[in-house]
Amino acid sequence: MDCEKVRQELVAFVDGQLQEKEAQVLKNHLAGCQACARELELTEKAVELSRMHDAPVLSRDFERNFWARFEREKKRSFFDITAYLPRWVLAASAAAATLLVAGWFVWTAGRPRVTEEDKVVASHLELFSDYEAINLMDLLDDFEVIEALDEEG
Amino acid sequence: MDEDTRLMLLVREGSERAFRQLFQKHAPRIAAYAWRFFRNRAQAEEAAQEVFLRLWRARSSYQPKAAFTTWLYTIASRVCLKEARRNRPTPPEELVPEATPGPEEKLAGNDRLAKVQAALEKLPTQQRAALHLVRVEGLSYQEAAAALGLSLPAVKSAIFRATQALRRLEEE
Repeated sequence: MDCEKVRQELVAFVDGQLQEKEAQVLKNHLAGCQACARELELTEKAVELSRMHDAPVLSRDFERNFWARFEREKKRSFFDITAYLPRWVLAASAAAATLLVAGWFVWTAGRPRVTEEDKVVASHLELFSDYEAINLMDLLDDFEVIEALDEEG
Repeated sequence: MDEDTRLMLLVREGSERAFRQLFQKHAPRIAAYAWRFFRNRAQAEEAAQEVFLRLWRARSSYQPKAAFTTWLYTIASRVCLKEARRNRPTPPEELVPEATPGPEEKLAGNDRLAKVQAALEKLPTQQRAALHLVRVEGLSYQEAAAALGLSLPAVKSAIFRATQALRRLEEE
């Protein structure tokens, strides 16, 4: 192992992350190379520095706030059926719902649309019981028919 | 089976008592990890709370294949990385050393700590996170890679670069 390769591996060596065999090769090199041994010292100091860390002093309400959130979470998930069902059931349900919606669109696409006028007619069917009379009324709207009827009269 | 795994298996069965124990043990550490990302107490606390709520929601999917801490820090890393990407960084708050020795040592130590933190601040988020997981939380490179969703060589490289940055500080 040359010096360059050794220096690339020094950090992992100090962290204890090299395989036993690799670590042994490195140790052998370090025993006979002063320059790399010096590099090792500097690396160890840097590793020690990186272990220094600051941390926030947690607020007094930190725990209380969490448990309040947790209680809200529990209430929410109690009504949330997805929290109980296995994922495959949810996936199957979603697929079935998609198929139903798609099927409804396909089924209704070929059918005539019900207009507002149709609805009015449907709600006043009794008015259409004497359909013949209504037809005649339509005829009376025609001026020529009225004239002809007058002549006959 | 370690104590955390045993507790988490109880949580999986719905034990709130076990969940409380895990929270009390790990929440301050998770907040310290989140602090690495945000340097803001409110955000760090918010992230730590979110991590434990997610842990509770995901309890039924827990499998004791890996160490509990790896699973916990995987959730924490996702929450923090997502939040760090979403939010603009807030002004860092005053540094508070975790352990404070005697008064004179404290002054020297705080000064040194401030320099280290300033150097760490300049590192990319993932390098900082990897460094914390390995050097402070004692995760292996492999575990840190799993927690951060990175490859092993990527973590090795991140740790190497971060250590080199601190080495330059030592050489100054």
